[in-house]
Amino acid sequence: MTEREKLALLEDMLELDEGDLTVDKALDDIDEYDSMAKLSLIVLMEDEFGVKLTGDVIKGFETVGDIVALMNK
Amino acid sequence: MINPMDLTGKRILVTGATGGMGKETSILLSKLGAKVVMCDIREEALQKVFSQLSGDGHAYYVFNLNDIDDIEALVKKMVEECGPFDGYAHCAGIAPMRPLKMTKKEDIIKVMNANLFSFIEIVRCITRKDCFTDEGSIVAISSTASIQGKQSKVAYSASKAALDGVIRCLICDLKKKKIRVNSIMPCWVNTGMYTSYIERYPDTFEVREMQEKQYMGVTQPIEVANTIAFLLSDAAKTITGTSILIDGGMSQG
Repeated sequence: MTEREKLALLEDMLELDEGDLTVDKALDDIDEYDSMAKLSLIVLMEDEFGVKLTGDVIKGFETVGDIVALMNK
Repeated sequence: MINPMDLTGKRILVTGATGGMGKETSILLSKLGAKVVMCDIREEALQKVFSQLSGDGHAYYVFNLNDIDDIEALVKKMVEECGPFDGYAHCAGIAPMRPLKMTKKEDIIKVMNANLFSFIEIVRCITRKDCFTDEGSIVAISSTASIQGKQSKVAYSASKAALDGVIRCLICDLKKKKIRVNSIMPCWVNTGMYTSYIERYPDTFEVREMQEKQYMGVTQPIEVANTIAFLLSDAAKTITGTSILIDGGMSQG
């Protein structure tokens, strides 16, 4: 899966337009990245990549790239 | 001294017997004199709970309740090996959180299998002739999610609401045998499931709501077990077709 495809998964999850996200974008600057989105992220990562996110890992995310780095596919 | 919840000699099936509530229920029932027949997918954990039971005449079966088609053979085997049942506590279940946009048919079926279909199939099989004593009692663990909407709980709420609907029909179907069927509706219970929620979904609406609204505090597994034991006992002899809230005030407060 390419980096763009991974970003597209996140854009779809956050209901953003294609191309809205880049790896260096700060998560704090994304209004849609709220508690519900974090729950969606947990499900997405488990369904698509078999990665189980904990609360601590999620709290440690600063940029979109931090999430993309865990998308091992 | 009398014990209205005495279960001496009663053979009771407990599914999900190694989970937080199932484990506590199995141990309590044995202390009240019951012969406990436990069922769960985790063998090592079953052995551990088995070793904590009081008295004798207990048994355990390693079984995955998602194998709905094999339940009939399991029940037959249990009755042949242990004898007919006087009670059944359905403590098995899963409680995944999944946002609506990520909830597909297969996700719902998975929850329905674990929380609902396995229960109906066990009741269907266990209440057949010579498998369950007349005037026996069945208790299922439902949830406040049955009556209260919650974010990301579409499949779970559907399964628990269906469960509560089902018990009211079961009592009609089992009227002749006077078998009682009830459910209990806990909210947040201090089990492994609860701690993993706090760990996995911090700062979500649901966790915040729990901390604010369940003002009598998180329910302890023994409190759930006590209520199940009560409903299984003759102390609840004319209580049937009902669902008891054990939610620390969450849904009404």
